[in-house]
Amino acid sequence: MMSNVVIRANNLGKQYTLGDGQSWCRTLHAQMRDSLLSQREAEGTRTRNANTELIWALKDVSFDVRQGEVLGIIGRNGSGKSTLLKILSHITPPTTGWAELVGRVGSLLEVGTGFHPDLTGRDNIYMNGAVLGMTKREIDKQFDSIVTFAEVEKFLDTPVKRYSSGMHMRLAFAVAAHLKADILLVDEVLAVGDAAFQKKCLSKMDDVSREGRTVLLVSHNIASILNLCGTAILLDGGEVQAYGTAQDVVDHYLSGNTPVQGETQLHAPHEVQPRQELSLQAIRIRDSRGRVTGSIDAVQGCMVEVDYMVHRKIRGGQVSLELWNGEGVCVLCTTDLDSCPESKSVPRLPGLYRVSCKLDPAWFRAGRYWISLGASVPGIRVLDEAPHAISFEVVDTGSVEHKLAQGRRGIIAPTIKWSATSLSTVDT
Amino acid sequence: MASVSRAVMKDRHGHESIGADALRIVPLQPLPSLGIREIWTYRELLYFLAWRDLKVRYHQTILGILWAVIKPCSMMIVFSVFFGWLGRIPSDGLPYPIFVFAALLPWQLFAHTLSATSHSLVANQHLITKVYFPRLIIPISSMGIGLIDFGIALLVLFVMLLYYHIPIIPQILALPAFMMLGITSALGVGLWASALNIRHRDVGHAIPFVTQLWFFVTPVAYPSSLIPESWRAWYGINPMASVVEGFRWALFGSGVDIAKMFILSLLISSTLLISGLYFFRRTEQTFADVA
Repeated sequence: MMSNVVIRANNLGKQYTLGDGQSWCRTLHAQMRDSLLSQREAEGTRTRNANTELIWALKDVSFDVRQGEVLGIIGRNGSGKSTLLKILSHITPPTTGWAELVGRVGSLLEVGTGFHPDLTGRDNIYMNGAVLGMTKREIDKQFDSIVTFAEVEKFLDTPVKRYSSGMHMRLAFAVAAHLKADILLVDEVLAVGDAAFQKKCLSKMDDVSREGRTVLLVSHNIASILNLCGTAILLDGGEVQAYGTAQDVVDHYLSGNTPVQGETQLHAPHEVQPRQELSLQAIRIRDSRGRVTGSIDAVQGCMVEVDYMVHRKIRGGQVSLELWNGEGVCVLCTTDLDSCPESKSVPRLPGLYRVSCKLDPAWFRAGRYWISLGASVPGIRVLDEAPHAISFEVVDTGSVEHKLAQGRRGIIAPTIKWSATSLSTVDT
Repeated sequence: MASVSRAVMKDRHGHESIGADALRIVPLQPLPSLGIREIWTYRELLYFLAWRDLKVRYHQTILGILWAVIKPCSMMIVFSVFFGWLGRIPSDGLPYPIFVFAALLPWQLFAHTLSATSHSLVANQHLITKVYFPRLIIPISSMGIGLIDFGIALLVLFVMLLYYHIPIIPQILALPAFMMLGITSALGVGLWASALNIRHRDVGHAIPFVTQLWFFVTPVAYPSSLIPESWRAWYGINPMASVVEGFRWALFGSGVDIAKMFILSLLISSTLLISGLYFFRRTEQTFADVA
């Protein structure tokens, strides 16, 4: 029985130093800035002092993965998912414990690692393949299949800097999808691309797991975890919170792990990166009477309130919100620019802001929902994100469905107006 | 704990290893091996990285590979005018242009290798934080361009030898040895610098300026016969002094007696290389955390 375990993690732990922690090598610039700023201002900057706070990004993580198993790893931002993958990928050493992997390991922490903008598509396929650990002969053999998958035949000899972002990403994923490995370590790569291509990638991933390859998949996307993974691990604060079938772990994650008090503070001050332009601060759910609550009435709908801090002037940024239901389906996505696209060119100046929007009751059915937040300059860069930032319960007190007590299908349950016209009458 | 035989491997919790052939991931090791065999298994990546640097190097240029000729030639002209013609710096009885060109050749190989290796890790940090491979591949692959440029400049040198009617002498067979000494020294310093640079970027700022100072204490523009006889052996503390004088000796049979200098330089540069390799291997495990 022991023989087919191909990944074993044993008490893995990783300790990081928070802050810069290296007072003797602080930049002169930071020192000068701090001495110029008043004490109060300086408190807001990250390099203020050499507080060496040690945190465990990962603690006592143990698990076994058998051959052919697809293991999902879920958890909130900063729960240690990526650290775990980096350790297993041999990129960073653990502080404690050990791990073993049997067979050829392919790790996809991002797609397109090693791409060079000046090289052509053809060259980058070879470059990226080599970086991922493929031999030249393997790339030669799969070359045509990669090109077909990526749909870039016509642009093979164009430098990738002239590619659209979609083409760039397709090419990158195509190479990754053709990586032959016994064990695949995959981080969030499905979170890119348009829907059609995502579907293609998902089905490719599904092929992968049917081929008997062992996969470790880190994802924020509950639906893809449920679709692809047999088992899953829930990480929280670097520790394993739940370990079992994917369905059980997802349920645990959705029910227990996300606060339901109606408000989530998203960022501790130390988590804001020094160069970050915008940070999402808090999210709140208010019911129709303006009270902060974690449970709302399906008939009334609710307000979502987001506080964000702009650290540097940004142009073309937007704050977006995704509403997810308990089955891992995204019900809708909306951004603060949707209703006034012309304000896209108005720069956002540093400061604290609050945006809010009303979610219509028609979009809800009874059950648990959660909201993922993001801030980005669309198509250019992600400013900040907070997946599954908050969760709330929708209680059905008086919808049609509730009144009629019928089971119905559908993601949403709006009351739709029907009209009737008599076309002919039959005498009885 | 990692180097223990894996026949029966149990940790304090009684968990066993899952196989003798498993890749084992363990905490920081104080004294890692050099991992030469692993570099061999990743040789294709080494080749691809060098090939990428080369392809990108003269991308979107008009003169392209000609730059490899223009750079040393223009240096030679400037030096010939200011030091040879106006400054009347002695050149061991040789025409000054070829005297300085023979030294510029190994110097540029050294300077390029040093600068490329010391910046290589920072330039490739996106790879370091995303994929595993033996990190030594990065500084090693960055030496490719310097070697190619050197090869091209060497052709120019042979044309100059013809022009000045300087016969090729048997000592020329020793040229590769001096070239190796130059590369070893550059790689030795470069390994230290690259591993330090990824943590403290000060090193990246210091390297161009250190290289410039190093240039002046190396007998490129002047012959080492200017140095008093009694000090000359100690001049070998600077391995590049031996390399440059070695080139002149191998090409023209001229210059000073370099045997003592050469032995000292050999010691210094192999010490640099070996300590550099160990320092690099020692710190490479944390590169992804500090990059």
